[in-house]
Amino acid sequence: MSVPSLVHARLPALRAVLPARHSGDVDVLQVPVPHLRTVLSFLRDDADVACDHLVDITVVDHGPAAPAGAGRAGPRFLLVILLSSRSHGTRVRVESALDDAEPTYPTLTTLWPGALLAERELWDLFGVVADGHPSLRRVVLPEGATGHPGRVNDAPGRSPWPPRGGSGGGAHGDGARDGGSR
Amino acid sequence: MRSILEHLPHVLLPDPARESDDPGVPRDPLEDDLVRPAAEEDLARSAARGRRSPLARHVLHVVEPVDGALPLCARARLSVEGVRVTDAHFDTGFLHQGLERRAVGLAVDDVAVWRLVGRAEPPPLPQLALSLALERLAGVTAPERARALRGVVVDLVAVQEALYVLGDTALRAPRLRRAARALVHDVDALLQGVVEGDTLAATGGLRRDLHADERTALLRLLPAAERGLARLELAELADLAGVGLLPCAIARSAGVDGFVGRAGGLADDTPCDQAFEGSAPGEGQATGCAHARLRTRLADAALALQRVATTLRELPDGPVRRAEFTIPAGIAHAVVRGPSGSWSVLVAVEQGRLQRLRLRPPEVATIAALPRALDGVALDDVAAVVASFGLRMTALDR
Repeated sequence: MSVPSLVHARLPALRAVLPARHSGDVDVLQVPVPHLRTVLSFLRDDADVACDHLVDITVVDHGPAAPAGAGRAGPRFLLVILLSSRSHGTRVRVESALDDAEPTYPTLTTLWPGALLAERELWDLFGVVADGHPSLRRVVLPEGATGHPGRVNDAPGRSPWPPRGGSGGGAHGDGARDGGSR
Repeated sequence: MRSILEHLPHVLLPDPARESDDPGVPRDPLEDDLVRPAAEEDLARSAARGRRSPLARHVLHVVEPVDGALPLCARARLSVEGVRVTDAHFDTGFLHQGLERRAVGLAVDDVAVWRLVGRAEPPPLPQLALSLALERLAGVTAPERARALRGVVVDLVAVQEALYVLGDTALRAPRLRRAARALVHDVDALLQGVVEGDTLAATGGLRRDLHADERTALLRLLPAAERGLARLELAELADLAGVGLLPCAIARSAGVDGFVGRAGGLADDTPCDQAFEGSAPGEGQATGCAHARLRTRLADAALALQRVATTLRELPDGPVRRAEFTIPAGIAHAVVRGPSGSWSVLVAVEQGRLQRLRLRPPEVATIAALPRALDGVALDDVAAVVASFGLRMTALDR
């Protein structure tokens, strides 16, 4: 039985809101953010799925909405979570559309501690917030850097480095989100 | 403590007052004194007496370069009691070079990872993972000859990385360190013989074939490398046995695989598109300590060289690249299991161009697991334990 079939069979209440497809040899589940934690916990803990390995977590940025009539069809930020099962030798891709203005999802660090750095990078480069992350700080940019240079509409060539001798700041100058105690 | 300072001249001792007043806030790099002799002396005396002093509570150990505000460094903040580590926090330095961002908009048939960061040499594993991800999206596989040569590349990278790790770890064994570093040059020559230029930067196979005379030259060089590897003895590092333990359960939950996982007894079976076939842990090998990691590395390297020789002798004939095909829009990812763990690459393609390139090196998982391995480790052993993980921080460039 495929992973989407198992999810639909064992989480019947979510069947209607969890479209699934097969892409190449990978099962793809599209999960709304409010159900993300339930589905991911199932994928990790169900013995027939046993996705014990978080391969990666990242985001695809399709850019800001264009003026009416010329805009993209889907959401701006697509969260992509890559999982694999060492025991079953399978791979699963979970996709979640995030809110354009407030891209947020529940942290995966409580399920897979290996998400620690990847989620910091998501915040650092894309401004995507892993709610509940124990230490959501910049990781590849210095504290005090401005903006999120992974976003496709971030000014090309703009230096994200804080001005020498200053403390950073500016519109996005929040080196650590809420002091890292979320 | 003194041995760390002797072996790692780049050790940086922060101002303890500023550290305690506002921990975690970086200082202006221009204000940094790279080495403070007085602080160093105080720290050494404090550690020798086994006492805890305000100065001895925080040691910032910067692995090249010395200035914490420059790119490509890792930082460990250690809390110590006497001479033992009681708590460790690992962090990256400032690594952003815009690599992934610069890839957005590139045509999918012309993406060379190293050109994005302006390097002369190709990083083989992410480049290979990128090709595999695009092939997965297109629904094609590379010809048999190309797959065999890709396997040779992964194996040679394994040998090269094993030698780097051994050279970095053998702080107290200068003879071993010299031998490992000398051998690196031989293996570099082998690797460059296969992946010269942009050989790997091709979807559907390789950009260029390995000619018969090149194969002959490689086969002539291999025995010397095999003999050099066989001469490396780990007896000089026996005091690392039982040190820097990474429990299997921690490795698993952090997502660690590769030699670090196997040295702790973790079955290395992450599903991969192109897997490095490492050695199975021998009896008493899967203890998860620094010495076990080195033993596993060397066993892997010996196996890898054997496979390279076999593959080159029995290299299948035929083309090295698929004929024309198109890469449709969509998202795909591929995993290449290298010697240090899995490289994952995700691509999102729209209208023949990259919308997103995501490179995830194995170091992301290793760094998350590292603090546990340092728990209770004597300060004198910290550098060797960290080195035994084989972190290549350049892999984390973004």
